[in-house]
Amino acid sequence: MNGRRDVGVTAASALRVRAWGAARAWGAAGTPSILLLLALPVLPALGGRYAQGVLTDLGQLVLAALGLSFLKGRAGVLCLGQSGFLAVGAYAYALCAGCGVPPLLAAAIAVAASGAVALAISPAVVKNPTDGAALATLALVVVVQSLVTGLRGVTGGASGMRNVPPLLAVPGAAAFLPWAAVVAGMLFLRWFSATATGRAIRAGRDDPRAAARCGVNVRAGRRLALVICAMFGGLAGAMTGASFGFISPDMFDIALAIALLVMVVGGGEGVLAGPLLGAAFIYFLPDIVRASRDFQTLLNGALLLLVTQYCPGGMAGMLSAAARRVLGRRTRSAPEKGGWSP
Amino acid sequence: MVAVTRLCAEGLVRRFPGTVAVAGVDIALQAGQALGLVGPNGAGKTTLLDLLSGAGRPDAGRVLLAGRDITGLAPHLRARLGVARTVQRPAWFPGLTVLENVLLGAPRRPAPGRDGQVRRDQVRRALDELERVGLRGLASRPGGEASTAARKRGELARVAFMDPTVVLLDEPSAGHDQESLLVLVAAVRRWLAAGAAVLVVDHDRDLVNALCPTVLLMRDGRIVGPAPAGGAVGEGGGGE
Repeated sequence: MNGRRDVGVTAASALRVRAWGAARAWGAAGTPSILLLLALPVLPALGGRYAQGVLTDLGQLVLAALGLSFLKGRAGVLCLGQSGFLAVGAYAYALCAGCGVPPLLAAAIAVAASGAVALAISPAVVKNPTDGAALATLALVVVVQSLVTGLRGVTGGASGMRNVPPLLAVPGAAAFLPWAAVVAGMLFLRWFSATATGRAIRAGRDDPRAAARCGVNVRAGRRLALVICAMFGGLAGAMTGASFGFISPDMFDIALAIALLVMVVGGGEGVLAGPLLGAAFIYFLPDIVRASRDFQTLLNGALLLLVTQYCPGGMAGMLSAAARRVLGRRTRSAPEKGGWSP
Repeated sequence: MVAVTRLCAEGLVRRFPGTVAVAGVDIALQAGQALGLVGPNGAGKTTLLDLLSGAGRPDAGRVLLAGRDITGLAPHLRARLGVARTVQRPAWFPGLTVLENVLLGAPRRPAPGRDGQVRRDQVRRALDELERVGLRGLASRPGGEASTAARKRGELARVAFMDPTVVLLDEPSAGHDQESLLVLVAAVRRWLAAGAAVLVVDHDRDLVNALCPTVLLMRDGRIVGPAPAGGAVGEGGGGE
């Protein structure tokens, strides 16, 4: 609403539109996924045990954050319980693989289980995407944690489950697989957001009532987005168990759910590169600032407040605003919510 | 033209705490006919449109779409059946491109055919509709960059794209500049020619008169009869 009069088609403007659209699509999604794709084969060969461990952890976090970013940024649903979906995935994988189910099949079952749990809690989530969704997903974390703690005979209770089989018995696979999933997930979300269904989901986020007037079933869209988010979480959870060889209830607590949310919001919600930036920042912060280790949760909370208050576009928003300024483009407000659209 | 009733309502009542917004309204919208509805603020015009479009549920009475009872049907399902509704603030999605804003009205069950071909046809249709409202050149821009008047026109393009059988326009003139008003009038004429029924609620009596051969007056939740020409009765000034 900048008062600009609408103009007809001129050759120059059409060209600019096309160039702008291409730059936007590739800038938002293509560059990070292509860079990752190029880096993938190198990952297993990279560095010693420490570097491998960092890559493994970070990849799993980014994968979980990616699903959350889609849910928050595209469907406008607030989820405080991604760690609950991770727990479902991790335990489903550990239980299945422990019973002799082939690991890859067990991972598929874990993803399906997380999706099914999401479907089960979806009525409360889709009705009210902010308060209701936050409460329902927060409750999920608590319920799942007490369930796996309580079912001692099945899950080992608070002392957890040992000897969780790896996904692939290949050296370096633990570091490689989450990143492969991240690249596949980015490409999938980019494609999906541009489909008719993805379009409807985004419209429901912008204005639910108006979307309904256009024939969009807003609640069904939110439900689908929640299931997709949970499936990303479930896969990340399965990979967590598979890479550590051990899971316990306290690995999937509320602090993890909040940290994931901070990664998404801090990185820039709804932008594919956002979770990548946010996860890296949160993950390496304790290494950079030693003192922050003891106050991680407090710091996460403070960051969430600061970002939502002063920088709603997150790190990705700041970067693209800076890039636009350098390239001499119009400097519009950073959080372009349609960042992934073609 | 033989009168074909697209949408009719019988005995609609809607109560709010302390007031009856719609107190027993019968109304019938005929194919190819534009019906105007005027009345003072608070007469219940918008509430009536809500009941017809599904945004509100009546306490009594029923709504029939081509003979089918749709009284309990959700707004998005009514929209898919061809009931288009606009409100003063355009249904516009800043996070979608201008083209996507129009494509949003695409049918959920698309015409049979190869997937890619169907999609290409939809895009072509959407671009045609954008051309008609003068927004073709902005098709791939984000919707958030469009001015208010452009959003109103883009909404018209989407409504046209939805092939509506019933169009309920609530204050369509608000937010339009002079040029877009002409676009609005042309769009309504096209819907009428295609056999849609159009209901227009607007404070701009000249616009209502220009579009609608019949104009009804609503007051205190009831349709009291044809509105006097000239529109002096309780228009605009905050109600009587």
